[in-house]
Amino acid sequence: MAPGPEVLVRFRDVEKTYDGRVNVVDRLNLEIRRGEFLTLLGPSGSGKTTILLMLAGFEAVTAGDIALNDRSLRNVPPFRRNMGIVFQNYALFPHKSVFQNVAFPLVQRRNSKPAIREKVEAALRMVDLSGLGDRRPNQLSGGQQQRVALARALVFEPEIVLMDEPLGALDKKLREQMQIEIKHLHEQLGMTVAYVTHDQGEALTMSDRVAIMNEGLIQQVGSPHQVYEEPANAFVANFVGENNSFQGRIESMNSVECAVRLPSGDVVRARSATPRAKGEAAVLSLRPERLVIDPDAEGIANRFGATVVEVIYFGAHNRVRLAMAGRDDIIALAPASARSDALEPGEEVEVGWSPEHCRVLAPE
Amino acid sequence: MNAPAGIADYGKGGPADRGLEAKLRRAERRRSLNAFLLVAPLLLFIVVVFAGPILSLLYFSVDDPKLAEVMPRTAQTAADWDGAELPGEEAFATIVEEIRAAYADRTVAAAAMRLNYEISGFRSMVMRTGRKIRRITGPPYKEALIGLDERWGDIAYWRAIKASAGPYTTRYLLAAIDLERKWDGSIGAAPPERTIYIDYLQRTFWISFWVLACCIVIGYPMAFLIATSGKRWSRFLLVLVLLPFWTSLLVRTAAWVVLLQNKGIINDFLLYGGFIDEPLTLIFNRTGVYIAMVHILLPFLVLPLYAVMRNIPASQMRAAASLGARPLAAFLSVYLPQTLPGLGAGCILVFILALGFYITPALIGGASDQMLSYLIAEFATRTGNWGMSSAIAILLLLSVAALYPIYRGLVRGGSFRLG
Repeated sequence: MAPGPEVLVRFRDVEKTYDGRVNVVDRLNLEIRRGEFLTLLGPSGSGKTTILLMLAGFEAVTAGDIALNDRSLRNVPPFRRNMGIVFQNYALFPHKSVFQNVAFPLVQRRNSKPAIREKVEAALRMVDLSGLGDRRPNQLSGGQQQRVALARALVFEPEIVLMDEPLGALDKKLREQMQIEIKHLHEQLGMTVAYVTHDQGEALTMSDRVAIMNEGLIQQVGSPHQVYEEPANAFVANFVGENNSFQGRIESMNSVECAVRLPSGDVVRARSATPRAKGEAAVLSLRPERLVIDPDAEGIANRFGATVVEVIYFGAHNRVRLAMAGRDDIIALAPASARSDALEPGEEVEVGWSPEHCRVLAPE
Repeated sequence: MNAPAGIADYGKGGPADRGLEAKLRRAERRRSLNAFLLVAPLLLFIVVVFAGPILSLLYFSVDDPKLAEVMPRTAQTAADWDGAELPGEEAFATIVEEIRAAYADRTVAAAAMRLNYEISGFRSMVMRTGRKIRRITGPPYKEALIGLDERWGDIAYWRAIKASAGPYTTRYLLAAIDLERKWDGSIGAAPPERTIYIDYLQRTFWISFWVLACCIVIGYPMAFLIATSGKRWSRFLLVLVLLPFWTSLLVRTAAWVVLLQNKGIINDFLLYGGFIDEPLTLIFNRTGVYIAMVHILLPFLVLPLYAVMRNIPASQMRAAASLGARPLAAFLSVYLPQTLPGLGAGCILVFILALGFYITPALIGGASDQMLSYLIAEFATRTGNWGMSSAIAILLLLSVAALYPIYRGLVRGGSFRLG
């Protein structure tokens, strides 16, 4: 048996263009492993939905190949691909009842009547909609419609479930609740999920792995922790989570650390993901929650004087805007404490961060 | 009053609340008055141009005053007569007197015309009697009148007078469905030479049905194409569909005459291209009528369908496919049911309009391609028989009204039962 996780879907050098000039998806090489929750994360127009449409068979691949279980999908029509899809607008059939909607894939597969009844009822129970089978989709709330769409995509035990921004139409609270529910369903059923979203919070909460897309290219694939803590480039650092970035030049380096000189003349010590040469331009990435304000800043390698510009109260933390190193847009998230609650605009403070939390990246 | 009662008053709506209710009622009254005044002109318009004509149509179809106006006493005598045997001397005396008077006034023609509806030839018989009436100078009138024209001794003519006595009659309405009232009051089939109306009705439905069928076959894919193609294409196609709307019906029909005639553009093209050796007969027959009517009515099917299809997102068919439905199954179980309301509306529109078509069959069809409207126009404008014209119009109206429940059933079936 092959070691490591089994690959379910393999994109090999896939390209997609609509106008023959610009590739909306470029040199895509990606594996989706059986049983994993993989999220395609990117801004709108980054090509993530196109990838899903090609996988589902609704868009033709311009070049390259997509394989499911090592078999090319090139000549497999959508209705034979056995993939459950949850659409952004749910695409429930308005003229059918909830029961008929969920039964639809089973009816198409010529399941027997009793088997259909049993499976549909189990699916509705699973998404907490028992007893609503006779309703029409338009008699349900947005969250309930979302669950019906989910039940319909899962009931026939597809090879893989594709979700295209399925929570986009829900309000914040419901969206967060559904994120957890979908995650739990994934853990219980062990199905493979390919999930498309532009919401980085959603991607980090739900995924086993996240693939970050920009302008048709994959920027980084990794666990939520990896893409957040160890962004591969400046785009990922800025797109995933909040980020303070500093332009600078490499001053010196050793095996683990670089020293980077900022335009203001300050020197910052930071971790480098890739070996870099002295004198090269570099971008520093620093998460706001890693930037600490005195007295926590004492004894930390990178320490600077700063002026508080603005403090916004968020309850569990304070969002502090600082002026330092010739800039006035540096953000720190300070956990609620006697010190951070007492910060006032105009106050002089000492701030700092340790080199391991600051990453040197190539400029965009 | 004790305290708890006061609280209860407050909760349920005491005197203070009653004042509020009155205010609310007043405000509501004002609002409904305003609404009524806004709608009033439309209401008036509908009464004048819709309800009015239909009521007058109903009236004309049963109104039968001609004989009673010209020869009131004859009409009265005939109405009272039992119709079993030839009437007596008194009836003959009355009719001789009234024909004499009417002939002198020159009003006899109107009554004679009415009698002619009952028995063909009655008109000339009355007119000739009128010309010779001065030869009758005294009783016995019965022999004298039969002496002028022996048909006065035939009971059938007297029964015709009884049937024309008025002031109201069911003969036009019965005739429109090929029935007539016999002299003894029973209703039976009309004589074969007059049973043309059911034929016309059947032909009208038959032509409308085939026009509708062609419109569906051509219009459904067309609406689908317009609804699903890109913005520029769909706008272009929509203009093509709408273009005929902006041209008069008569002009479009005339254009078809030019296209379809034996030396018309279509035949010239086919002959020149060597597709045929002899010109096809496309005009003055059913083929031409179908072609022109389908062309004229197509937009009425396409537009409601397009409106419905445009609101069906592409993800519906994608969802069906992803769930394992083959294209045909997806169409039948997901797409088609959602378009049924639009299809139903379009079908009913096309069918009803087709039922009332007049100009197109008149210009492009032959004698055997005319529809009910042709008869209505024929009776109204050529023979001046408003009774018959109105009766056929009512037949047409009722046929249309009968379709409405079918339409309702179709639409309801579409959204709640099918699939």
